[in-house]
Amino acid sequence: MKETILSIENLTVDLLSGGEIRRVLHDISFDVFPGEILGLVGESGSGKSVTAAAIMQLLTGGNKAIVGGKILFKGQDLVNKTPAQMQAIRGKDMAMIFQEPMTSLNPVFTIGTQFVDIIRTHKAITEKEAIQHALNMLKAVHIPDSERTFQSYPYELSGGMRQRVMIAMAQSCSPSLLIADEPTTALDVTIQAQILRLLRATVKNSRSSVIFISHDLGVISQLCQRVAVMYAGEIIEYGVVETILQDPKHPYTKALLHSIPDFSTKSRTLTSIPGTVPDVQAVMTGCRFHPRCAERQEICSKQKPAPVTLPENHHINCWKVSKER
Amino acid sequence: MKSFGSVYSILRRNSLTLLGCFIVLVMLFIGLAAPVLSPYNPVAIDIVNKLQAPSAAHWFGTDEIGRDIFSRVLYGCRISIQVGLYIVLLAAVVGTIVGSISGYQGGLLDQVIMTITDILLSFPSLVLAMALAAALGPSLYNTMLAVAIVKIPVYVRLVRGQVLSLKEQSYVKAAQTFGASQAWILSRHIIPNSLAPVLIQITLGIGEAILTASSLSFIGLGAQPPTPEWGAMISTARIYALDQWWYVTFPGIAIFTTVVGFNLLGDGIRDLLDPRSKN
Repeated sequence: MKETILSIENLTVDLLSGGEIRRVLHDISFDVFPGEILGLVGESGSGKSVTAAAIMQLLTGGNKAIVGGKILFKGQDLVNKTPAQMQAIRGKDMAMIFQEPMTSLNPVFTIGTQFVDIIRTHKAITEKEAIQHALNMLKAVHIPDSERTFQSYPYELSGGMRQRVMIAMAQSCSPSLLIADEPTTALDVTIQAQILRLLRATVKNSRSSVIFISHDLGVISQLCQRVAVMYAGEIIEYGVVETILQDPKHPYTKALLHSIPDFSTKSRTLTSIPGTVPDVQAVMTGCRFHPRCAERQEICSKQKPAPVTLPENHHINCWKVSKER
Repeated sequence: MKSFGSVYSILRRNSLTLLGCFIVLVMLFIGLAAPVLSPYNPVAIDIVNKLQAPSAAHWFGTDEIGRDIFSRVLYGCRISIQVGLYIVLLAAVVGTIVGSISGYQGGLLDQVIMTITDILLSFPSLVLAMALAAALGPSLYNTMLAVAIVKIPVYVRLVRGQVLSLKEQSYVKAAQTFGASQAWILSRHIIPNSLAPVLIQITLGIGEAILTASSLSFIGLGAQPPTPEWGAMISTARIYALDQWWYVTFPGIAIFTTVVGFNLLGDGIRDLLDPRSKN
């Protein structure tokens, strides 16, 4: 068994919203290995960002929101960490990049000031060394004229530039885990490709691991080695990217792949999955996807499917698959 | 960054703001240069020349014990501007700290602070300031403290509202993921970004603070004789108002001009800093 960087075991999260407790993550488990990019894919509201917040221990409501399971980071359970211990880990051993590069930087300070602040939070070095380190990091993410960018205010930079700066900041203390929460969603396609290339290169050079959250299977297929497909707070299919994209077993994954527009065919209508993701608080028996499933069987609405493991560590939660075996 | 030149061009477009700016600069100059500009010692008594009408020797006339009103008004400028600035700065600093903690922490602390704020705001501000000044004892410093305390809730509410919306900004969340401490996030990310409205409130508040402090001095709770404070001067002058018009008039004009000057400047700064209020 390979050593994992992060290992999530049966994580269950309840969040308080509008006076009601809602279960937003149902018993999810996955592993991240060193030097790996793991994709986390799903529709809006499927629990991707909550998973990220849970790993960072930044859920609103704190640790109390985690009602079950373990988050083992380098062998230590983060659920039991004190806020002060987590503060020392965040930014140093794990860092995060966000969806909105336009608002992820503080508008009243220069890039340089913010950069040096972050470095000096975690490293006992002089200001001069921190500035040099920051400039090196900016160069590493291919920012032309890094000296000028260093002195710029966020509003003077484009979205792509800001996202590069964010990546540089996130990498500045060489974290072993980087969580990228839809880092390219707000960028246009050409910039997207550059940022993805940059992410891939960073991982290769630093041997860090990345959890790449996206709703875009195309991006996931380019970047990730393994992927976990989330639906309504559960991981319903999880395995190597090639296997899952070429031979999806879960009806939801199939439908998701099917709804990617294909420009080679003449069809002008887009395929979509009927219905919407169920409300997180909805009490449901059986498989959470069954109301929208095209291959639904009688048992699906009555009993929760047990996870099935196919060769190559391909995990699926679906009755149809478990019956075929 | 906006250069000084572009700020000047915006100021120039609005002639009222420019007027306010001019008045405030003149008042600041008078306040600073009062000892040089005054022809007489503001507290020197000259009983022989009491209640003289304005003349070449005494531009604004003299008061009931022969003090030169022009000199007293000039020195009063120094006092009033100091009073205005101290009150507003004290209220703004305390209000910003309390408001940001209240908004950032939330929960029970927030509820307690907001309840106290609401109670303070439910009193008419002058009456509350009077009560506080009377309780603290009549002196100029106690008056400043009393008015500042009354003004604090305004800043608390203003900053709390800002903080509540800033808390959800992604750079605040990003700072958390970079391992920043709560105190750091508050002082580096939240407070600096909530300062623009506070700055507007400060400039708009100076005139009001000067007025409130003068009112307290007028009813005898603020500056004590022989301090040349405008409100206190008007207070003694009011019994002479019918026969010696100059005694009440000049300190009155001084208060009026200063308050108008600061308010015009405050409006201009609001237009400058708040893009939504621009036409």
